[in-house]
Amino acid sequence: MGKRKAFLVVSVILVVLSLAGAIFIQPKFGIDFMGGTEIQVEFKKQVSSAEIRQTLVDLGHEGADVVTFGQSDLGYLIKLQPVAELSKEEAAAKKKSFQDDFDGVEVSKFDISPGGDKLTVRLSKEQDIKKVEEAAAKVGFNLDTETVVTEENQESDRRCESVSCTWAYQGLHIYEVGLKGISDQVMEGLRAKPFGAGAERLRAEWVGPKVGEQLRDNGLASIGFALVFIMLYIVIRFDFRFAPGAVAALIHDVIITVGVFTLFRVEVTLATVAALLTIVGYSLNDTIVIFDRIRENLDVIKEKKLSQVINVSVNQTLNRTLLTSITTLLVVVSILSIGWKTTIRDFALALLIGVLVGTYSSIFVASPIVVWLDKKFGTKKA
Amino acid sequence: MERKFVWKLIFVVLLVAAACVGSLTTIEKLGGGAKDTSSLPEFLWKTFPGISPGLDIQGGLRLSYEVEVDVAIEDRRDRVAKSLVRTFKDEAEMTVDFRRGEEPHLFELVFTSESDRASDDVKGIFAKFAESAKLESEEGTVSHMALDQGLIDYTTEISVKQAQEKIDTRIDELGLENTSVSASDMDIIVEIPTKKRGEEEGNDEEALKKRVKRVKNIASGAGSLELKSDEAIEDRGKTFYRLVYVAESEVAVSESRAKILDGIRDASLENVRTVVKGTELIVSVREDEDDDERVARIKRIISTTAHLEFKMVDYAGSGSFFLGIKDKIDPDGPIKLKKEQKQDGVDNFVADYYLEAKDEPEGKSGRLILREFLKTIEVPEDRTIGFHKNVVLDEMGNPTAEIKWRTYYLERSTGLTGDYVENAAVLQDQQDQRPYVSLEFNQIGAKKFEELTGANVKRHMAIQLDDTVQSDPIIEDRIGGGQCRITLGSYRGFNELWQEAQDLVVVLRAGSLPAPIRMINDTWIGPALGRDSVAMGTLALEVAFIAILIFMLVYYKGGGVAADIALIVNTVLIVGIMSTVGATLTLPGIAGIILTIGMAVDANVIIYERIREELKAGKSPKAAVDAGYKRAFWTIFDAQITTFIAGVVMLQYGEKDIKGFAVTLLIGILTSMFSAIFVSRICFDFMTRKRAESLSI
Repeated sequence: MGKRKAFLVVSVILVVLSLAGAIFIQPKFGIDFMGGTEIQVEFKKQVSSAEIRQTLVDLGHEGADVVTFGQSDLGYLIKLQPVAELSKEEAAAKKKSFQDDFDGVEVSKFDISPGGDKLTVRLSKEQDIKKVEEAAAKVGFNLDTETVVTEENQESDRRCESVSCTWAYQGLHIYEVGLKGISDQVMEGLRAKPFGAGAERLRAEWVGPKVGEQLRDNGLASIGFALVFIMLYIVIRFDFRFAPGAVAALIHDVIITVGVFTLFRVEVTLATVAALLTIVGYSLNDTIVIFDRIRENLDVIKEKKLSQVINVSVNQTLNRTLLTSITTLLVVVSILSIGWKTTIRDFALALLIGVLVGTYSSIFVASPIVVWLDKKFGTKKA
Repeated sequence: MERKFVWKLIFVVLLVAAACVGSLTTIEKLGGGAKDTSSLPEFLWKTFPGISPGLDIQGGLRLSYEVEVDVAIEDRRDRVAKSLVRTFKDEAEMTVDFRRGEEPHLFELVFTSESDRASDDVKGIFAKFAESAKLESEEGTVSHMALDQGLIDYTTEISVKQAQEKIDTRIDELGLENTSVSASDMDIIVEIPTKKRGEEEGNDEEALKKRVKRVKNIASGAGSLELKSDEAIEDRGKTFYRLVYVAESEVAVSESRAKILDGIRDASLENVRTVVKGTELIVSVREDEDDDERVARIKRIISTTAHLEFKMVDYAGSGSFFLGIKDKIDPDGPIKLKKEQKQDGVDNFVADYYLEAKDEPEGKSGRLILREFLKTIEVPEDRTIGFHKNVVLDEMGNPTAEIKWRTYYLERSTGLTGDYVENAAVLQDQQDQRPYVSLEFNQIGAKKFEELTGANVKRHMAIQLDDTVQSDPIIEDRIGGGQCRITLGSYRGFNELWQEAQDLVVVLRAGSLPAPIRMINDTWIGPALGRDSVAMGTLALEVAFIAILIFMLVYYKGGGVAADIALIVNTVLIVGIMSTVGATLTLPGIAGIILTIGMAVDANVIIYERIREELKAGKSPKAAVDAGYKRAFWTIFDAQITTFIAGVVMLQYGEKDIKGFAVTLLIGILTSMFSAIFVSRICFDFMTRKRAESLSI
């Protein structure tokens, strides 16, 4: 039992450290959750990530993430921190000076897309597209004169001229002015360097901070829901003495996984939330097998104390616990080693940590808590 | 025992065989094949649609739309304001005017006097409307009002949600596979996993031949038709096939044709036309549309608001209105005032005045020109203007590139709208063979339609979609039965007309959007990332699979064989089930399958460890196996159900990557329980069937 206590202490320390880390240092959220821009570039010449990073810093993007991507050595994935969007006041000021250019026309919409590549305005009267463009340039927007859009859709009265489109559907006068978005600026900067000549943008994606926030909240809520439902199930199937132990083990696993993530700066993405949910299921799987044996043994070994029964049960199932962990780890390690360069890496890393911690917790956290609770509150024997 | 064992074995073998057959479509699909070009029989594709690669693997089209919620808010504001005005009239006998404000949620109420505005009656009515609109400020006779924030949020939320649902239905009607429609904030994102047509070459001819073969199959099951001729015809650089069938009588032809049309629709074959000539049925099969057209069509169908309305045309009143604004028309400008003789009511022939404008070759559409002009003109409260498109014909009657738009002077809404349409279908006119759209109203709609037509005999009714008048048929008589036909312009070729009718049917069936939507982004997502990922996923799967097979064999020897068989069955079943439900395979989905395989052996491990214990306790192999399985069952059940719960929660999460992972995880849990408990048990029964003295485990 003394050893058990030592493990429990270790766990408590780990959980506290992880929590502190998660709160004070904060895990690194991916663009799914934080918003930001992700650009996938294929270079024509060999280039180091340091060179790319330097170019990005010159362009004003500090703290960008640059990783090689795909089978070839020419592919790079560039992740940019969300660029400070125009504050409400700044946007309002721009809107106001934009408004000043139009007499007797109300500007009722003035939106800049999260990727910064488009300004959408809605006016109460039709205006010349060129005039709208000029007004946009005048208030400091950087027009994208490279991408020429031509589109003519008479069904919806959408017309495009060089950099802008107007959309006059059902009496709405909407103007979309193409701007040099963040990814355009980055590509321009990269291509200007000797190593970047002819570099191709394979993909560019951005997520607005608002959408990210929503996803993050939903993710947290879903982990919470999973915990509640699982706890209910344990209460129904077992005994409410068991439930706190199982859930403590679970929370322990999730928190420590997040803690390891924080420590190693692994990105928290949507895939990691899926991994965390899987860990929730997996860790319980282990715990429940042990609980099941405890319950069975309680009926067979009547004269012993609960702590002894638990000891016997853990030992009986130890083989199985380790074997299952080994087979699952075999898989996770193979995903990890083969998929190191793809988006699946963070997902597999989360699973790897989760499986290790989950195995540990079902033996050294869940059962001791059941014993401890029994000593503290329950004098009766099962 | 022996007999039960045989039955169990047969059951598993059949199940695995079915799963293997079901996987064929998946193997073909993931290998780059498709239904149309496949050599597999048709029924196989119907039962097992196969696993489709998702957007991240295959690449495809991502369209983002923004819902113009401002329009929905304005709509809501107008309704709230009008009901306020009505309430003032009914309850306080006050005449109040309402003016729209500068922003979508603002409006003003103008009272006749300041004392009216400040009266207690008004305050009482405002209090009643507190949940809809709030008093912002007041001065003189004017109250400045704003829509309640809660109502604005609700309107925004509901219009985005409705738009998403409607677009989803339209996509379904179009028969696009595995397309996801999701909403985030005020945007709607449509993702269509599809290949860019240009990427595959040389397949067109082959594909067309396959299509012809399928059409022939359908026709051969459609009654007593005899194939008279079958030829490939060159037409404007493209090939199409013409099949001529003959039947005994005209009745037989039309019956067969109906069956063929049904068959073609079921098989979602596009670009197949049928024409009846006497006792002959001519079927033409064309190539699938090329990409740009196809994408353009999808975009058009998604973005149509599709608000259908039936309005009476006021030819009689058009004169006084348009003559009254004649001075404002610049005689040298693009807008012309024209007149035509029309019937408006029984024995009442009048001059119909209308404005006309041509499309500018490189600029505004004629409609935009007309609309801009009409902006400056006040239309009477109970009238609206509709627009109609006409292609100018040359002397030979062939369409030219010139397009004219004309106005219709319409009475305001009759109350009959697309909301009352129950069904719509494309049919072909028996006489001139032209396709038209047949509408079927629901009960209330049918009654309204009958009243409307009864009250307006010999007048013209405009059928208006959004603000375009589709057609203006004259009402010959009261129309009961709730059927209505929309004819389309006559200037286009048959194919275009058919396509347009089809598109109209799609949007009418799905219903109208609550607010217009505007495309903000369309991108082709390249499959490059996907190809690597699939290769990586398959490799990881193979490595993990083999590693586990070897591990189980080494550790459990004879028992390992049983576990390995169970694992193989499990994998086949997962693919088979996913193929049957036509799942979409995404990268997280691949991870889900791999993970399930890792966890699948868990159930076997639990059972085997138990059997080993029982053997140690001195039981005979058979008894040990029995006890092991019996005791392990509930352990496995309890353990798996927790992971299952987590999977179900993930399904609710809504983000589609996670959903893809959850689906494979859930399917995997079910199949792994089955294979571990049922399949491996059969192996053990086999090993212990002859009262074996020892058991290799």
